[in-house]
Amino acid sequence: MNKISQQKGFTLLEVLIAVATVVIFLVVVVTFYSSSQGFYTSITNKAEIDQNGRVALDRMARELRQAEQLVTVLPATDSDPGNPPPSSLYFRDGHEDTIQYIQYSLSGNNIIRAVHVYSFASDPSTYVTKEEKDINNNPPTESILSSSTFAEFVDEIQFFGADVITIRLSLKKDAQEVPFESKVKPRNL
Amino acid sequence: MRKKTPLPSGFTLIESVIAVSVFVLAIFSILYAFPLQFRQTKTSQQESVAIEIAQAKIEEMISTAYEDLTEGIFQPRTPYASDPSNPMHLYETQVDVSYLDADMQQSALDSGVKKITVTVFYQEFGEENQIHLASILNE
Repeated sequence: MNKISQQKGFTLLEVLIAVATVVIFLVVVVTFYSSSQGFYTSITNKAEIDQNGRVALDRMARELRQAEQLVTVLPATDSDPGNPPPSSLYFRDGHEDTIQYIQYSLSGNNIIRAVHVYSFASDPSTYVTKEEKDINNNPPTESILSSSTFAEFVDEIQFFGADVITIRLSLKKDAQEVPFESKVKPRNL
Repeated sequence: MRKKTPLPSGFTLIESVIAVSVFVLAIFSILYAFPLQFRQTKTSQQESVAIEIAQAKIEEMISTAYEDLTEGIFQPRTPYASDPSNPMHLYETQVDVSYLDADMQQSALDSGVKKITVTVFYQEFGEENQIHLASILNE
């Protein structure tokens, strides 16, 4: 008959080694998991701000290239402390057949693109230029056709330049920051 | 008679070494993918910035009068931003102007069409990279 003391089990040393191995393994797995999460987030953020910057810059450049009239008066350079570059731009659109104006502005970290139109109460569906006057020499009424966000994570935006307009963008998300810059020569001005 | 205890069945040293190395190899190959991904994201970001700069140069050239665009190296290689604190200082541009004939081939004479080629140079992980963007202007 077997005695109790003869029953097989793990020694204390074996248990300790087993537990230590499991703990080391878990630590490795958790570290690996959290670092890959960190990597993934930073790469996603980078890709996201790249995408936003590229799309915003391309779209603004395309619309500005066809502008019929620049309403915002831009400084010639970005270095004049008395006349810093604005963060918004207002111009007459050259893409549509009707007369409309486009405004880019920075609201928080979003670039807002708003379409403005001007009309007289006597004929609200006919859009006129903002300088136009009716028979009583009254200015037209302004209304906003649409307003939407077209870029996020924008930290800074600047417009400047006389003949060739520089658009400077800086995008930021968490610790990632990417500067973008391009220039546009409006063809119709 | 006491029964003989069966031979202890466990892993041999070779087996466990192989198992551990397979595991380590797997972990490292996965880990390797991250810096690679990181580099690729950085590469595509630098390329986007470089293309925007090239486009900016093209726009500058378009605003230059046709006759002022002299053939050859129109603008030698210079940093895009003169201010060294500007991040765009790391990107350098060069503008070349050449003549094209009626068949859009390089020509020695000005027949009313000029080709503007912008090259943007930038450092990418210690290596120099460049992109080209060209536009055609007529008189």
